[in-house]
Amino acid sequence: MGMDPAVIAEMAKTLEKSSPGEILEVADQVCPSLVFACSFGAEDVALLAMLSQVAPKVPVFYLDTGVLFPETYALREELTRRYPVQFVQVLPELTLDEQAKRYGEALWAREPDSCCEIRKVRPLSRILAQHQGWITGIRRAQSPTRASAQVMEWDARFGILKVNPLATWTDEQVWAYIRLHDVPYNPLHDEGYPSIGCTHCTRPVAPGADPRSGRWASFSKTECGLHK
Amino acid sequence: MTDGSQDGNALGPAVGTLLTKVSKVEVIKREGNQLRGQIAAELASDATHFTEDSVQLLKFHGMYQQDDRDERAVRKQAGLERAYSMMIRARIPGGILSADQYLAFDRLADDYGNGTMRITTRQTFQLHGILKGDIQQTLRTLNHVLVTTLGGCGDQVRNILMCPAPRADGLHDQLRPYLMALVDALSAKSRAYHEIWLDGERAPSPDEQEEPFYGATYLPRKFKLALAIEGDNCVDVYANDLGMVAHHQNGQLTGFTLMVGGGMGRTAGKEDTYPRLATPIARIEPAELVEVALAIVGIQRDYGNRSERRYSRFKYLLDERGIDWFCKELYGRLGRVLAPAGPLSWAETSDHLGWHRVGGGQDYLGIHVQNGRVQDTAGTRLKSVLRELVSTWRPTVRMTCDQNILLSGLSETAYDQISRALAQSGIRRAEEISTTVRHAMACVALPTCGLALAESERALPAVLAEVEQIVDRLGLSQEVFSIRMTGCANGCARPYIGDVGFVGRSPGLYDIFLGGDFTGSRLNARYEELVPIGKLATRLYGLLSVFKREREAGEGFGDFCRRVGFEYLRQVTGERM
Repeated sequence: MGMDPAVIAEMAKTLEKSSPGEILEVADQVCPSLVFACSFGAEDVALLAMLSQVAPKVPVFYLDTGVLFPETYALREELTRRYPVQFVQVLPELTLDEQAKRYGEALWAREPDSCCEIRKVRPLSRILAQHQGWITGIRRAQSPTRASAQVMEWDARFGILKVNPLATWTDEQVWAYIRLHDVPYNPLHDEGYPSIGCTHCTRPVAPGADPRSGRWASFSKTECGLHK
Repeated sequence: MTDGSQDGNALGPAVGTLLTKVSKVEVIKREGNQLRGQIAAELASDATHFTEDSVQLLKFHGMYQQDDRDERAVRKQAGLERAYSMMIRARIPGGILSADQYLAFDRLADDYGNGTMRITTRQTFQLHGILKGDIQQTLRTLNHVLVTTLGGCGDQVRNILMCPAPRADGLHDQLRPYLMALVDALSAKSRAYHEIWLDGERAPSPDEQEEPFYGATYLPRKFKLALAIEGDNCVDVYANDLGMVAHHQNGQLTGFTLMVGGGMGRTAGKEDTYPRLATPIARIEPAELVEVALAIVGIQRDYGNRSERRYSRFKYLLDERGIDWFCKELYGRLGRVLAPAGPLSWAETSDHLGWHRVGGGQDYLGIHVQNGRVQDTAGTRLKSVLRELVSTWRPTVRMTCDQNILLSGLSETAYDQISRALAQSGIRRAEEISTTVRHAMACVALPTCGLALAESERALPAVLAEVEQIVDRLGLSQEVFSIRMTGCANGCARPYIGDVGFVGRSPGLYDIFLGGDFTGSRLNARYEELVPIGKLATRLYGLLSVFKREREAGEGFGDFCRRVGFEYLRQVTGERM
């Protein structure tokens, strides 16, 4: 099935004011092989809770870089107990040891773009090649680089539909939803980590600072390359 | 753009150059009819070499006439003329070649050269030992794969440098069009190159506008440009007449900082000649780059010293008239004032060696090439294995400013096979090479370079072997510092911005320079004169011992030498010896 970017743009316009649940329902109807890329961030646990209500059959995967926080793995277990979800673990082609042997130790500290490419972007490309649409938790308010995100858009990079049900939501709306529905979330959020990636490249941020500034803190980089 | 030489103002700079006494080379240029001179006639003659006037013009075409200096004495005794040959240097913007272009050089080196290619410190190839009768075929072969040598040498903008390493953030691809626009705007336009070497046809009468930018006399001296990406000074941007530093945010180009007046060359014994680091002067928008670069080079064209070549580099003009004068002249030509330069940060000076991952599942591999010489020796078959890899995998070939080679566009499955091929050819992995050897550079010097006073490329490996042992013995093998050797004071291997510089003064004797830093943003200074080559490693042993004992945490060798001062070092090492 091919998808017309113009039709997607039209649909996004109609759905701009719809609730995330409605957007998910529509996406599930129009896209036969939708998949949810779960990062275990605040947005994504909220989305997981919504999906369990409106489209519980949509498969869910996470990119296991091998250097996620222990709190993140614990959250995965908690979510599995709470919701009818089977997390598909997507692994890089190289183990951490193989990566160190080929590209040198601590690649993340020297060439973070290359490390993200190996541990996140390539594995994502591989799994998305098997799907026609993906759901993400990106929001316009998260950073300037995400300010133009649409609730539904054509992802030219992967040649599939990209669904961002929370695109229009504020930080407060996300947390209100989590609290109201008592959704399990990563305890690191309470310790000053608004955005959580891999252990080596994530730092807490000061109150009021750009929420993504704690990612790759010593580089001029705030995106891993999944959402370019 | 504003063109000062076309103004016709009686007080204008172009008229001024007519009134002062100009150097011999200036006369040759002016009378050379846009780089033609008598080259075609001399090429057709039976002589083994060109006359001195042609030699000056041939530089613009990318070649130096040289002779084998090892054989000079013997040949003279036997009543023979010198063993003349040409060094031919290509112009390869940013050091990037396609697989076919690389393979053309590889074949030419065997067919007409001395069987080797040399990567220069300005990211290009030069071939040595080309006989006069083989020049045409060499240049035609290169032209066939779209490589030129026009602009390889001579008083014009030389090969423009840019960090060659592909990047996962895509910035390299964004910058490449800016580099090519600079090349287009600043390259010589004379048809002479095509007439003489390629199609053999003479234009009826050369058009006055053949060189709208350079005019009849080109520049007073060579002019070097480099484009660095902020954070990584692998191009040694401060050593250039015009350095450009690209700023970026999240992989997007946001502007350039411009710096002017860098240059290494000096003349031994002439204290008023000196190396100089470029001075940052302005921050501009990406779209302004070519316009501002043309205006800057135009100022040197119009005001640079044309009477004494020793003082003709841009840096002397800047120091004589002052940066304020220069900026005023520049703003006048542009019709606007530029924003001032801000501070620059250099997180690293990467040699890009080893395996690296970029986007789209592709790898690049950086291979160390000692002194930039691509050749087969008894132990290492570098030239052969590169030919095999380039033929098989068809990578893009990229040359770095410290004379190494990168193969890019390799699929992620290439790793095992390529690693095996390199190991079988005796090529060591980057991490197996000592930091001493990995970061060292030497110029060509003897036997081909006409300027050399002492050995460099041939001598450095033995010196480094001694230094490696010393560094090992002192337990400093993880220490990163750069050793750069040249065979004369001109500074082709940029010895004045390394941690350690060995500058040849006469056969077997070198001046030692210390106190630069690894990021290339500071000049070193002369520590000791006329040290015999056999004592260079011993001197370093004394200095490194003090360094090991008294350094502060994390302090580099160059930084240490600068902090404690030469007087102190002379005193303590003197006591030890």
